[in-house]
Amino acid sequence: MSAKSFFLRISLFLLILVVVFSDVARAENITPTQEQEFTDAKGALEAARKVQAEKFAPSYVKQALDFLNTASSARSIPDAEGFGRASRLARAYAELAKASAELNADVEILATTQEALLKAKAEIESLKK
Amino acid sequence: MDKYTDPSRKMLAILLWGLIILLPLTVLAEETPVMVIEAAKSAIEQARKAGAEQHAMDDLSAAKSWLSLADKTYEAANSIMARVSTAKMKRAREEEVIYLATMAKAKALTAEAKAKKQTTAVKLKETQKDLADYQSAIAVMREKLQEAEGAKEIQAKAEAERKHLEESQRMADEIEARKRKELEEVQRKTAELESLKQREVREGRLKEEKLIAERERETTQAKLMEAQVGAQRTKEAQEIRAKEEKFAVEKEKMAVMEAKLQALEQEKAMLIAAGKIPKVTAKAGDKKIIMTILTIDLFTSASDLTLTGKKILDGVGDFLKTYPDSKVLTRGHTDSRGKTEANQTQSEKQAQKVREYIVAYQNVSPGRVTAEGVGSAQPIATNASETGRALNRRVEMIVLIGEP
Repeated sequence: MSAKSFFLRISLFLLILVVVFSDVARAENITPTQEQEFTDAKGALEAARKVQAEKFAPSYVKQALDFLNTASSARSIPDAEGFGRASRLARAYAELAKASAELNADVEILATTQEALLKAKAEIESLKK
Repeated sequence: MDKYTDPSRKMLAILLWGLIILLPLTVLAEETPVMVIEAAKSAIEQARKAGAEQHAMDDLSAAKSWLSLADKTYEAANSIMARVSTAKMKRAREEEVIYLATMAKAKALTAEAKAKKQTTAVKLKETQKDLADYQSAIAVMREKLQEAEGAKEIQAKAEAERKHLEESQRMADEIEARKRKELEEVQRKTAELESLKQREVREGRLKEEKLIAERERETTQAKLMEAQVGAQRTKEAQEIRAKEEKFAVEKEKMAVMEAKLQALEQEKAMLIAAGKIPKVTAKAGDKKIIMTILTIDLFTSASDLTLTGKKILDGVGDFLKTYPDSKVLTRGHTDSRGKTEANQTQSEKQAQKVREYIVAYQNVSPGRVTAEGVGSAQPIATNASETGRALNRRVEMIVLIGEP
């Protein structure tokens, strides 16, 4: 065995060790704070549903749900970091869904009110005649 | 063997080229950290334009913080030290950058939605206020419209009332014309009576003059004969006395005629005075004046005296006060509609009301005025027409001449 070949074998071994240790590091246990983030995300999604986010912002609700599913999958591995990230993203999208739903609901009310205003103007013109 | 003809080398070359071609495509299909960072920056800019700095500062700050972390992580991932790390570690760093940038984007979108919601809420409030103002204006306009319709109805009622009054006026004019005609008839009869009376007086005077002339002639003859026929003096004197008695009788007749003439003159004067009372039809009877007043001029539908009726009775009262020596009989009449008993009661009630008014308000002695009702028993016109019935509904005031 030449020196070059030996060096290559050692490098390969070290690389395998790094990969194995990085996986081990990733597979650390889920903390109570991360669990709380997951719970908060579900709470935020529930709050969004209460303002009819499924009607007014369905795409954001779907994204929040996808992130929650991802978080659930990460918990089963377990992948604490992935779980935490997915939970935070789920919460962020749930909050976005809520804000967007509230905005769209107001926009709908505004459109209805503007329509009523136009009718009222037309009625006034009619009464003037 | 040539290196281009070796099958294993040929396969390896195909695989390498395949990788070279497919790798960029896979890169295009997935989100890269740069793409997500750019998307987050764009979202932050949109949020800022939407007014998030005023209305959603917390979310905007959070977005900026997440973006800052994503930038720093991205820079770290591209440092010289990071380039020597494994593909798996690179992938992990990229995922972290994507995660941080996605968080920044989500927060920026939330900030934008909240800012827009604030703007929309303000606009909605203004629009709702405008709508409320317009609806108030509509309510006011509708109210005015209803008032205008009400005014139209009142105008229509007034128009109907005016037509009714015109009709009443027309009927009153007809009655007035009839009354005038009757008055003319009375005046004509009075003139005839006057003429007759004058003729009688003239005849009486002629007779008297004739008698005087006769007496004078006879006296002259007697005087002439006195000397010649002394024996016949007594006889002649007796004849003269007899004639004087006859003359006295004639004088008494003349006095009676004078009295009749005076009575006729009083009747005429009363008739004329009664005829001048508004809404009163007067005619002469046998030593009496009959004043007729239509019920429509005197009473309301509830048999209460109207203002016009009171004015008429005031005129009648003045008339009666001018002739204080005459008695008055107030007699109520109705048309033939309704029950006889009810008509009788109503006629008595109306006659009694007229009597009470004259006694109470015109100070006519109660002993002078009596009241009675005859119901529909004495019509003066047909009851088959409304005009005839209106004439039959009346109160007659019979003034007895010279009966204190």
